Amino acid sequence: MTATAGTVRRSAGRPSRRTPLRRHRWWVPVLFIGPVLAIQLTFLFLPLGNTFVLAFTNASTVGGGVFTGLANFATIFASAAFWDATAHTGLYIVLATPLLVGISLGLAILINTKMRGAGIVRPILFSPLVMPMAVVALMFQYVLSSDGLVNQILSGLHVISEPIPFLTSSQLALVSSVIVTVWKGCGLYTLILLAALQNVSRELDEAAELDGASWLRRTVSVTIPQIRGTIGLVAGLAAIAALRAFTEPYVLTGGGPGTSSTTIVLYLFTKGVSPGTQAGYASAISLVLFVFVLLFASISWAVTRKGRLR
Amino acid sequence: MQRKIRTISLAAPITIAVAVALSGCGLGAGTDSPADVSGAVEGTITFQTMQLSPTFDEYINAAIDEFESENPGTTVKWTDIPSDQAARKVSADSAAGTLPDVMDLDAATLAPLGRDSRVVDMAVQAADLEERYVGSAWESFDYGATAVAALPWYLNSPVLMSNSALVQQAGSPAAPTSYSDLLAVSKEIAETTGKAGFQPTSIGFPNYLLSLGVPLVNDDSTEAIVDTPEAEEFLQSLADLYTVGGIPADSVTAAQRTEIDTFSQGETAYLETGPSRLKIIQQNAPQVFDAITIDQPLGAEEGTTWVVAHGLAVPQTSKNAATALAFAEFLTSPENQLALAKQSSVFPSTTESLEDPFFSAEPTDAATEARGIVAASLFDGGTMAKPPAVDAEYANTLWSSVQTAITGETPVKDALAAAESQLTELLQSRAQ
Repeated sequence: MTATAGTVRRSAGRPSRRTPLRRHRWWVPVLFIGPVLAIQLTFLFLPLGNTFVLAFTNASTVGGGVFTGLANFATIFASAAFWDATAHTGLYIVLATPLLVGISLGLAILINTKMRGAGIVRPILFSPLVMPMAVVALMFQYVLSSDGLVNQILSGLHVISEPIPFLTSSQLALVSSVIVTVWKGCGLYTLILLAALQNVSRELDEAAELDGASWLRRTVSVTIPQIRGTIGLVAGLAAIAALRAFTEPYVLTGGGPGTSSTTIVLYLFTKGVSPGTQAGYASAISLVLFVFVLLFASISWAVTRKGRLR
Repeated sequence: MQRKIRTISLAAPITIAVAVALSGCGLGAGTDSPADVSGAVEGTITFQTMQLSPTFDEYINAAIDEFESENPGTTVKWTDIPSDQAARKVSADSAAGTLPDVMDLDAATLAPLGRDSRVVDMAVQAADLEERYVGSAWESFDYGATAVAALPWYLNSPVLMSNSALVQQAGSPAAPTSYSDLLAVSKEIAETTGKAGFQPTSIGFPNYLLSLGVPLVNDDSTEAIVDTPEAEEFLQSLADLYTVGGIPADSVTAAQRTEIDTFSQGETAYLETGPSRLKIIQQNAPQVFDAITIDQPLGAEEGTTWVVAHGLAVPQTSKNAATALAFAEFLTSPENQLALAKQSSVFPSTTESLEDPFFSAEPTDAATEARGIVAASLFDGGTMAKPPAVDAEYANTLWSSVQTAITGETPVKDALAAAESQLTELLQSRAQ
């Protein structure tokens, strides 16, 4: 009824000023979105769809395969190796996330204070980010090897008499990978947190200072609560990065010794890419991993949102 | 209404993606129908080699010209791919149905295609040629589903290289003649020089066990057999050797430092490898190269020296399989193989080629000495094909299982039992 009235009103009054483009303006977003959508369709949805389909087959990497229903998922959940890899990934998250958030937050707070030389520290912190992970992992392989830098320093200081087996001990192999992840990642997270700190209201801090609160008290009780959302975001990103950890253990230890540093992605890789050929099984693992990532992303989003509301 | 449109707009690309994926992944297609090899030898074929260009451009181009002139109306289009990309390219081409007509592949890279019957079975289509090849080379391509997945082309087999400078420092113990002996001598080397004897590897480990009489798999490759007294004794010795520094400390898990690297850096005394590595060592470590002495490979006494075979395979998808097979036969003929071997450090797979005086000439240097040893072991049946099921995936799983036993974290018996269980699971997953 309203639409009819509107139409009558327009035809009764002045003529429409809509240009042909405006009349067909639904094409405008299509023109902009189209190329992006085409790329996403080809390189995201199509492989995703293919992975989804393969997950329900016994396909090998050379092709073929028949529909096997949920058999791959049943195998995954019955596989001790998968749960072993999941446990290692869980440990990876538990170790890497607090370290990444803690170190990054500490560095961001330090840089945010009027520290001399803060301008130099920022690019230094950022530099690991631009290095390829494979190069970083390779570098750490030499740093952490039996005759590597760390052992040489500790030995030179007479702290140790025997080299620490960072890369060949089941207890230390995963921790070594975590060290690499933290070294590589904390620069980025520091910058994110620094940006958040620089947007924090100074008035509350000054008011607390006038009330006699110490620097530590002001930081813990006034500053940090104001960037809770960003901390949540960083924690979420760090957890997801740890969940997808692959290059670090692959280059450093190959997932060993035994399976002590095999993460879910590395397990998937050995089953479906190199040297394994079980494309269907590996696809099913990647779907399970996808669900895990979605879960973490949702938690991160929820925490961030909660922080913003506050 | 708006919500409905949004739902449709979201669902559309996902539906399209799933539909395209369904149509693209060849569900239910299984293996392709057998290639027809009975047609005339004519038309165009594509030929793919693994890292032979540019070193062998002249040889390959001349061979192609000769084949084309002997078979008028044929054209061979040659492409060369890097070795480290071969496995992925073969998988991608196979899934897309675009495999070249003739493929030069090593036995491990060919395994997925052979297990899935995706290549012409030479045991059926070229049965009459079996006699001309070295037995272990012919057997290297037996994947069960495809009895012989390729015509053997060129081969590689090892010699034992010793760093005589290190060996002298250790009081010149005699060169080891078996893998058990290698462990004993390595212990001596470690105790006297502080250097390692050798670097065990994931690919080498199955060879060590095979040489000791551990079968690795049962007759039909459905169950792994690695938990045997021989394996237990060997692994325990390896673990003992690790504790005294007889093997490089990080070699158990370090993928980047290969056994060639550690030997070239003078960190290990022995290296069992193919003669082609001599050139690499000469280029990268001339001092170590000058100290190298060549001996019989470690499996020589038992006749279990390993062999790596490259073969020429014809995929079932080939539209011109008759010409492809003819070209594969032509390239693997004794004359052509001998010509290739004379220009390289690889070995021919035909016994007739190995009879050539080139391989029995008086040694003048490490390279010619190594050539004579390897050719003799190939000719005399001293080499042994690994069971085809024992591929890179098998080797990795086995190596991963025994790593903690070598470092002393897991009892040897437990590690071997776990390895056997995991490997059996792997073999059975392939049979499904």
